[in-house]
Amino acid sequence: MMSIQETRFMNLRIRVICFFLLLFCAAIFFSLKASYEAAQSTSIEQTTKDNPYQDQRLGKQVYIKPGNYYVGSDKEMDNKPLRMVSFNGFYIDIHPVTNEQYVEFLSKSHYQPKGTFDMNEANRFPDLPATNFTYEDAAAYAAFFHKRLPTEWEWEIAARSLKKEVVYVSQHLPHHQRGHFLFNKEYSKKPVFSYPPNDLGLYGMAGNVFEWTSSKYQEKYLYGKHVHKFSIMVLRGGAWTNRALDIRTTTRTPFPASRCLEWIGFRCVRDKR
Amino acid sequence: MMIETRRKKIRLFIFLFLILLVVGLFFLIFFPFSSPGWILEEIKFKAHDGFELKAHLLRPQNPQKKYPAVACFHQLWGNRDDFLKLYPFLAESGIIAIAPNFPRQKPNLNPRRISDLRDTVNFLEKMEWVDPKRVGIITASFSVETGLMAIRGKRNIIADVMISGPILSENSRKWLTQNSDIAIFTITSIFDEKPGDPPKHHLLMRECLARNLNPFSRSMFIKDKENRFSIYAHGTFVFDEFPESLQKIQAFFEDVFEIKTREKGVIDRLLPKHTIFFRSTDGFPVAATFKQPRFIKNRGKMPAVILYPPQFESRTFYDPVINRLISRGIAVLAPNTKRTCRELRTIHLCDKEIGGAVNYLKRQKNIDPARIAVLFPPFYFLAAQQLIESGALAAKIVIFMETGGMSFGVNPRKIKNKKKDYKMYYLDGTNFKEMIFLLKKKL
Repeated sequence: MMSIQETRFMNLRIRVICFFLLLFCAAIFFSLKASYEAAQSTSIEQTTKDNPYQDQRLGKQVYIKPGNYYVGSDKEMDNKPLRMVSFNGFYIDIHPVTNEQYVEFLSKSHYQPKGTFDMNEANRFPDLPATNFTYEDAAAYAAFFHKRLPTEWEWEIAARSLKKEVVYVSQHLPHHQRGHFLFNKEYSKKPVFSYPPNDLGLYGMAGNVFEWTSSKYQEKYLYGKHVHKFSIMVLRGGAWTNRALDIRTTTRTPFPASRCLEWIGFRCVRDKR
Repeated sequence: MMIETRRKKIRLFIFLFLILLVVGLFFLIFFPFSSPGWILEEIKFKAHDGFELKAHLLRPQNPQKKYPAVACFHQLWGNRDDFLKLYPFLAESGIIAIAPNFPRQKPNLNPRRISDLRDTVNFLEKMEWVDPKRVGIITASFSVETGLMAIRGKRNIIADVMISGPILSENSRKWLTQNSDIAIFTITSIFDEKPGDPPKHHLLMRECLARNLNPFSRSMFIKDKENRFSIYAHGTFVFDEFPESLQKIQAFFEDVFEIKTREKGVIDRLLPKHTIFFRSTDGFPVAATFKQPRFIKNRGKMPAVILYPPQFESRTFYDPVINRLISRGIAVLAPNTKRTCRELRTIHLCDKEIGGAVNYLKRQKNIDPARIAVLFPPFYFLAAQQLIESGALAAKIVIFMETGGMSFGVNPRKIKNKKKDYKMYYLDGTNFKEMIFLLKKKL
């Protein structure tokens, strides 16, 4: 039999141990959380199933911290002036959606694309960016995976690596190595990881395929009689059909939401939960 | 008796004559001659910097209202003759057309390559018979890009026919969406691509259509299942290879300009004076100026010269000297051609056209086949070298005139003439006096 003093001592010891265990758990929890958020561009979330034959970068996202970032340029007629805009934090795909990912979506959702997406070609070239979608098709994919299409401003800050300068990939590289543009001698789209990423680790932010954004192009820049019949969205990024000197991270391309082309793809973003 | 019979006869003749006169007058009053409804004029006008542009103007002879109009911009190494086949169709629909030569249209950054096109549209709009709200353009190859740059900012241009020429500039493509009142009609040939390449031009044309919001926009893509088309279908050559394209362009303009009735009057003889078409040895039609002196029996058959134009020039380059040659008894054939070019790996020569020109002259009764000369500026040196060295040139007198411009690295003085089949002469610089003197002496 333990004396009362011994029992009290034992209880105190258990309490102290529990207290330190609690402190230890809290420390681990907060350190994990801090490292998860502090890493920002290096913090990457795996969202697809692991496949030893698959590129490990596929399906990953980068977190953009909330803050004020530069958008626009004084030289861009429909995107001036250079200004600072406030953003909430969000995750953005490091590459445009690939054929493989879109085929997976179609098989799971039984969605019927409005565009001219070619299933056979997609199965043959799984690592090419998925294209030939209308805006609706792109938005349907994003909604199915509880994501959304980026606004053009979210796309822009990610493309310019949260910087003030209008750069997309290292300026030390020659033009033809920064992205897949016209005169690169290959007149078709290329796999999503073909060119080096920008400073945030995002691939294909310049050239290869245009990307749908969820922003509407302002009517004040549209003069035609038939404009009111269309919903005009903004494409960003340029494609292999553009000359490199024509495309900047600030270039806005108006395009009818109901149409599609084989060089218009998309990537998704996800709000922070 | 005799006198009375004569009188009777005279009366009868007078009576018949009066009847004929009355009937003739009746026809003249109620059934007027079918007048040439539309005519083709040669005009000159000045660009804003004073440079003179020579153009064909297709217009109604008696304009009575405001007509829609189109400006035709030829391709690189092309000229205003490229649109000759289109005029009857435009005239039938009641569309005024202007087609200048653009000698300053070159693949460089000279702003005049664009401003000349803009000046043409400005000139057309200011004509008293032209409805400035119904103006369009027809562009081919290189001028597809420069043409769109020229009309950027002009919102009254409502139609653009683009023949085999992709728009590379993002600003121009964006403008098509921003100013979507412009209707586009694209014509592409798969021979715009090199064998094995994906159809880049076709794809880029499709982008222009996809971005465009005008419901009148449309495309025409020609597929080559039977392998019957050739590289010559590029640009305005489509008019020769695919005659249906002429009707499609006509239908497009009728839609966009809201034309409901067609013009009356003679519209099928719209060719400039002294213009003929001869066939190359592979059957390709070539427009040329052909003028010959009046045939005099005692003098026998006359000599002739074929004058090829320098780079970026057309047959009209020799207009100032044609009459001088004719007054010296020499017939002149000044053809257009566009088929001499060197691409990355292949050479396309106009040898078949040169053969066709010589054959055409040989078929003329008045021309002496032994006295036919051909004059080559540097742009044709490569073709001349090949023809002379292989002995395939049917004309035996050859003159090389060093006018400047691209010569494909061929020195005419080093061309091998082993069998001495050909008499070769050389002229330094564009010297028409010396040219005439030489031709007179040698022919």
